[in-house]
Amino acid sequence: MSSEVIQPKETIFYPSSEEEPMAESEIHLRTMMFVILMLQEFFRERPDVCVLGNLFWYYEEGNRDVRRAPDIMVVKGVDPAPQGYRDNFQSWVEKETPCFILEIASESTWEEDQNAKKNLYRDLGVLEYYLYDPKMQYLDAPLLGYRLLTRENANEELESEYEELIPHADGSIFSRELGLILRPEGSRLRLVNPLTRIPLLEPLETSERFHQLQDEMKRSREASEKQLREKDEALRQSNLRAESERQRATEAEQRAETERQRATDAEQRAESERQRALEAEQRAVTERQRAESERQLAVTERQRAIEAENEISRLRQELEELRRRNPVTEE
Amino acid sequence: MSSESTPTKPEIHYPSSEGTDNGKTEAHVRTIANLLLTVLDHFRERSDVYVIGDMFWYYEEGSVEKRCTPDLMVVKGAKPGPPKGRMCWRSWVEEVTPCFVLEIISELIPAEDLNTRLQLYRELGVSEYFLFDSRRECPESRLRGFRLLRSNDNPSSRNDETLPLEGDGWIFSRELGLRLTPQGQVLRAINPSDQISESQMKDLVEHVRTMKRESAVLRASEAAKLRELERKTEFFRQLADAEQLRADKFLAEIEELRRRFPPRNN
Repeated sequence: MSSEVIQPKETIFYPSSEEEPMAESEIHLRTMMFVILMLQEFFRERPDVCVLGNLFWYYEEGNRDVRRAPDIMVVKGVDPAPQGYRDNFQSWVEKETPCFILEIASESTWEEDQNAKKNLYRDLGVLEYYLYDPKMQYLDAPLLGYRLLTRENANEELESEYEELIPHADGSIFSRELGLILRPEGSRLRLVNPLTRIPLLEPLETSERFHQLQDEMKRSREASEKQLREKDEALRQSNLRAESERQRATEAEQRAETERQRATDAEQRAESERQRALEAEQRAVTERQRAESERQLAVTERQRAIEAENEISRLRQELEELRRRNPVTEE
Repeated sequence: MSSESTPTKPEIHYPSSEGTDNGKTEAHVRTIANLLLTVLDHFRERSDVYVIGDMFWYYEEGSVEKRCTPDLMVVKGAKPGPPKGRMCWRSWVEEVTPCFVLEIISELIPAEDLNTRLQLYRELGVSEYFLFDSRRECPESRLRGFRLLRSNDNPSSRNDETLPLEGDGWIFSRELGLRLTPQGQVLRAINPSDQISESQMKDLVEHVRTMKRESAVLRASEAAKLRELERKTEFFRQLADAEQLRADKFLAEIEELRRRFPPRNN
């Protein structure tokens, strides 16, 4: 507990930052970190471009008390990581001056950003200076941009001034030093490719895209596995059908063969039956003929018998006649 | 240029950071940027997980002095913050304590300060706290992790256990479910079950590209496989049709033969 007198709740102010914090709030920190990550990615192929965040910039050799830690500064013509990462940036060692500085406005710094810092960066020769107000509560516009303009004054001395860059209708400003359009979109600062007009993906968008892609690939893998399984099954079915049709055909062929055999047998049997019938018929004809001739023979015989009988009767009558006429004495 | 007499170069020390939160080293900023991204991404489906760095945490209502500023802290079960984000973390408003704290040690933090901070986190009930010192070569002093032992409920006499250093110098954070792994001067968080080793921007972008390429190759080889299967299926289909025709021809013949020569028994 504080040893001081406790003030009533409503009037206590809890500062969000000290005099020179790295970040003041959630949005401040995220904006700063994500813009750094995006710019580092954007300049990945440029080994001479260094994107630094909140690094102490010492600009006077021998004087460790004059320094600034801009939220984001970009330096060109230096090694991004000479011997590991930098602990600070010393102008006279690096022999370069940041060409781009972005300050994110916060409660405790926004006034200084617009005055003392702006003048300092101008005097140090920072070509572009931007102020971004993610909460739109400190500055006149969400994004202010300045470009250093050097010209001769009346006394023929070179004089540098910051010329305010006029934002487009959507508040965006093209940064020549970055080669990107800075576009404030609510609480985030979009970095837009001026040729394609497509914003760089934010880190969480990239990772989201990554997860989406991972999911998509998983789904498409599953779908194609399913398709493969289906095609495999179709092949198996088609193979099975071919096999069963082949079996059916073979069986049918065998049965047909049997039937053909049966038909042949039946034909042969029919043929032999006919033969047998024919023979029987002939035999019958023969028999009939024989029977006929026998019958005729019998008829003839009977006629002969009748004739003989008749002869006998006649002879007997003749004999009778004779006997009557010439009676024979009985012995 | 300084108006004072310039001291001889070698004697001048240019601090990279002050005791108060101020300028940070590049390694520090890169560590925070990467961890912020990785942890946010890791908990992307948990709206109650709050990840923040460099924010004042006031732990006693009524006292503006009772505050600390962890370099990174993670809160589980956090209430939704205001639309424009939180400006500070007030224990009595939030009613939940961060479960994870990381401090990045810089040149100007005295050892006793560190102990005071650790003691403070113990008393506040932070489950896990980690110390990372990018300048140290020795793994044991480079990364240290502690986990609060909950057996003692008196905040001032709580103990913690030192988390073991594993493999080539990483420590598994149970609170995050991630491995805290020093890589060069930067501390990264790695998901042990993830295919990618880190969510560092350029790696992710590269990874997405690789995955796209691989999926295209995969699709092509699968398409070829599918076509081959289709071709075989078609072949067997035609074979089956031919066999079917053959079978039907024989069956018709049988039919005809049976009509002409009815079997005696049937």
